[in-house]
Amino acid sequence: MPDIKEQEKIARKLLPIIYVLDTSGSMSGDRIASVNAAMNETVEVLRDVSNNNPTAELKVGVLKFASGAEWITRDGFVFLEDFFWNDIDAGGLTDFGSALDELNDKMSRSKYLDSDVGYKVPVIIFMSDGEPTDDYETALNNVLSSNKWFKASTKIAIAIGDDANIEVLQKIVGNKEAVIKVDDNETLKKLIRVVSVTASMIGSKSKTDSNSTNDIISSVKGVMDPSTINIDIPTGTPDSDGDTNIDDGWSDSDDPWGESWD
Amino acid sequence: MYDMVHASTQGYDHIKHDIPCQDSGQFYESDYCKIFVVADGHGDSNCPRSQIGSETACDISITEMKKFYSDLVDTGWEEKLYIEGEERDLLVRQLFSSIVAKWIKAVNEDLDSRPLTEKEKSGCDRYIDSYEKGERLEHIYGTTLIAGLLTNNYLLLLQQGDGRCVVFDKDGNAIQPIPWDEKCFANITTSLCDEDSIQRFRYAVVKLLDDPVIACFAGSDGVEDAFSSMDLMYSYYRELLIYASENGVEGLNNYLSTSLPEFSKTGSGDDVTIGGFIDEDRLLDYITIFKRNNKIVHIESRISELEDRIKSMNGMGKLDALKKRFEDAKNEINEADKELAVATSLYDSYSSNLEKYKQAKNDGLEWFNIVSNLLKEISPSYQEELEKKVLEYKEKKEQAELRLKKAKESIIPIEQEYREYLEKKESYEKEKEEAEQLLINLRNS
Repeated sequence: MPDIKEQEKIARKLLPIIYVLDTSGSMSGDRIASVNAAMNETVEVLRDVSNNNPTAELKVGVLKFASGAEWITRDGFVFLEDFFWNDIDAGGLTDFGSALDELNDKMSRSKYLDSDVGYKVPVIIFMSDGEPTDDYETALNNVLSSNKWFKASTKIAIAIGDDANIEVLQKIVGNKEAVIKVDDNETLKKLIRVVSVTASMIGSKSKTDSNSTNDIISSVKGVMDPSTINIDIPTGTPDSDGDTNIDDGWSDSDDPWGESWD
Repeated sequence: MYDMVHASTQGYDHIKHDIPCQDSGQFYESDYCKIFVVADGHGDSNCPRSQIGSETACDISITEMKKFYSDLVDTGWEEKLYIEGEERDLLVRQLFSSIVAKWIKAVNEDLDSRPLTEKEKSGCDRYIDSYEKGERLEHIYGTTLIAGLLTNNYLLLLQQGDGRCVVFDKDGNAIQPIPWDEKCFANITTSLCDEDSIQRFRYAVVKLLDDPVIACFAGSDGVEDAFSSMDLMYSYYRELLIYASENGVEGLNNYLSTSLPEFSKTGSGDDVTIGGFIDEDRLLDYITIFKRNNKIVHIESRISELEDRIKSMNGMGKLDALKKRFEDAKNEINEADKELAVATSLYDSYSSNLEKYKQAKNDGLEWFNIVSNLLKEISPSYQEELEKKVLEYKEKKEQAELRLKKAKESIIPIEQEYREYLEKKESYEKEKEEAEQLLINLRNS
């Protein structure tokens, strides 16, 4: 009889969750402390999500950017059981372009997504409280035109405080509704956790970016106190390249949409 | 002599969530040719009738491929298939265009007779405006397509969208003759319903006289999605061939019909459809190779997985951090131990002095009175001071004991976590080393 038992053990696809964290000077103090605390707490919750997910095992990548960009997970995405958060410090500029260049470089089969069929479309969660200090537009155009993984990824951004450039974040995630603004640090901590868990659950269900994004935002709205966050921010015109259009291909999703989580 | 393979199952997740099977698979065989078709309707909610789309694609493909075969015989154009170039492209494109045109006509007729219901419309959030305007209605029926036409002389394979078509060649190698479309990746696929469908379809022709084929499998993406690598998928198909050699192709079809639901459950959860053919008579020559290759693939896959796990363990320095935490906990025990020793020593010393002092005082020793008189500081308050010290170091001793107790308690989970993680890493490394050795031995055997 065909022996598929051995193959079952490694049948689960890998779903990368990538955090792109602004660690510029303006994040110093309570903000970066909240991010540090949230990353510790979130990973604990994600472990449960991953262990109970029959179709996808989560892997995490963390890219921080300030004056330049650097992967905290320097050897590739890590399994949750290996995730260990060392608190990060803030300081320096807000080089969004460098972060996008790094994503462009590492989101490929020859680097971090090194499997023919093993990876699901990644989820990228951006967090920033400031203005780009480098040429992010060229980097964005490059990554959108040359990196299909980035283009197809589910992208969500958390804009922290009033100085965050909402318009830039909307352009990067390619979807106006996918930027969530938050002002206080306690809400930021909760939001990081909620977005991470929601994204990991929905992202594992094989959907196109825009559908996943909408589902994630709907779930976030359902879980967060609406007075503490701001979604559907009217400013900015997202780059249409980020949205799946009718010729961009079809999703072959297999699960019903819009499932909520508790 | 080729026998047809055909099996399909509704996906485990589809059953769970009451979603229809969107895969379709059909085959046809006559004395002159055999045809198989696998179509996978999109799970996209904007394609609410994709199950009808996939079924229609199968019906039409069989009809059109039969006709194509007859036309080629009638016109004597079969030779054109064997020469790469524009003429062959045009010929095959004509076949594909005909399939697409008839599929579009059929699905539009279906829509005319049964307009979209409100429930169907509710899922079409992205494209409902186009549909309402009567534009690109075939998207409602979106599907992929893999089709194969096998004659005595050639195998013609067509594909639009994802899924994989695997051919086992005369050396027993698993190959994919149809070029891949890079637009299909992860869960995103091109489709029969795309405007550029005819431009983007892919095909392959295998001239059987030059390149005999042992078997061919077309699988919807529910097959490949069950595996973490293409090699493991090939390995699965080899297992099917081994099974067919022992139980016949009909036995394999029976096996697939009963095992695919479990395959979907433990694999992708998606609908699974497999179509194709096997030359059962020639299989026996390849079984040893297949078994050996499968062993190699499984060992290689395990090594690759272990490498990934080990790399991940090194990725964020968790082991070093756990080790440091363990070392810190050990240091804390040492420090607490030292503190206890000092406190105990001083406590014992002061207690002893106090006892001696009291004893001497009671005994009224001569030397005691002399010394007491000489040293004014050794006054009646000396006893009080000694008593204070005894009390102070008693407290310090108790505190140190508590600190040591806590340190010893807290090191238990820390040590356990560190040792378990270390042991896991060492076991991965050991298993990898053993697997590598096994692989060398197997390759040398």
